Amino acid sequence: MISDACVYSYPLGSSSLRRMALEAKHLGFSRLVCANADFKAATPKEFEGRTTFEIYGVGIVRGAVIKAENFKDFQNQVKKYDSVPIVAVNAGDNAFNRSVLTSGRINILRNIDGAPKNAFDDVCAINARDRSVAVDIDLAPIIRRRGIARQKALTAYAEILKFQRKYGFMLTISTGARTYTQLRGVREIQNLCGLFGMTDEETLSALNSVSALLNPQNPVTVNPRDFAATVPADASFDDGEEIS
Amino acid sequence: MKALPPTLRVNKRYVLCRIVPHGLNADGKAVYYAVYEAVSSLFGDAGAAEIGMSVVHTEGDWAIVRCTRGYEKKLQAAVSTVNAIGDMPCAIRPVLTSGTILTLKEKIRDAQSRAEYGTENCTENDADNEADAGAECREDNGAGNVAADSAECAGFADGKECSESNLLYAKKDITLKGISYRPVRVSREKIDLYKEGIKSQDSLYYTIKDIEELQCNQ
Repeated sequence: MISDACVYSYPLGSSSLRRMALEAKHLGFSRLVCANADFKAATPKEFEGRTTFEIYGVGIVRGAVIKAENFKDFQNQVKKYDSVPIVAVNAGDNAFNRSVLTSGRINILRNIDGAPKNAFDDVCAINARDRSVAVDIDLAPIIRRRGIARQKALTAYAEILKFQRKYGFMLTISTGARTYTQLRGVREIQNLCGLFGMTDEETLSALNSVSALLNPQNPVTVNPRDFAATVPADASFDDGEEIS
Repeated sequence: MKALPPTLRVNKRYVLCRIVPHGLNADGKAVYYAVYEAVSSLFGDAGAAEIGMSVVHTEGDWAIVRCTRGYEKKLQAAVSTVNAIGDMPCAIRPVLTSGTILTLKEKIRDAQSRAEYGTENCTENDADNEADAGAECREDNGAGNVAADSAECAGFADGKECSESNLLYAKKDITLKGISYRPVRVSREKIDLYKEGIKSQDSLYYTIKDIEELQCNQ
């Protein structure tokens, strides 16, 4: 399912969630992650109290963005979002990122372009891969900024892409749209991601990775008792006489 | 300087773009400046010269932008970074690329005729068709200019475009949280509201269902 990993609807933005869903459907999306802090205010009345629902055939998933100054602050804030399906954290310095990635309580590390230069290194990449944490590529700096700010974002994303190709952690793509005009179509996103060297296949895979975050691949566990119970007690296939 | 013979001329491609929100009615010059600013800030002067962008045609919510063959993707990427035309916040969405302007003009005509067909069916208020209706109604060329005083949109005069309940929303101001908004465009289920203050303007993009919900809660 092609997903936008972060949008802000009314009252944070100027478009309602229904209007955004309508536009997202038109643009080829099948899921939006709504990261409004006050999700109740953004949710239509008929879906009140739910964290995932569907409007016009577009899945809406509740998300949360944590802006923490240090790891302790993060720990205090993350307690509030236990029931939220997608929890994203704004990246900080290297030590903060490592702690957050190993905490096992987040799904997305975002705002990498706003973090210090060496904030994301190979250790972070390995942690992200092992803990199934995705790194977010926010298109807002590319679309809305100009000059040095956009150049920095493009450099940061190119670096993340290099790490991703080597270590294989997940990427997500978000527009950070606050109004429906700020949403972008799939082909537009492919063109924008092409600016920092991302191929069309990689972009599609990144757009689909919210599904993997919602349904993580856990290791298969086999309970020996259950396995034993499936074999009938009077099974006679190991009876030597019958075989002969 | 003497013009190049046809065989030596650079081949061109034309990109059809749609301007959202609808009813902006931006003129070609304003679209050109917006796209040129986006291209030159993203690829620099040298890149912009290579792309050779120019706006060759605008019609309602549509614009046809020309570029050198082989640079369509770069142009589309640059067009995606447009945030505003003049002072109006908007987006330009690349829709289709072609080798001739004629093909794209036909596409515009097709889209407009489909919009007319879609708007004729707009009186249906079937909930199942609402999502499809969004796509159809998006095609229409609402004449409700954000800056215009009139709250009417295209097709309202002959009562084709919207159902009666939608007409009611188009005619009166809507008060949300104590602030009065003027509806500038109402299509089957979408409604654009506008508030003009002394210091700032504010646009809200809703659906009819949202308005009904909000008004019920007040």
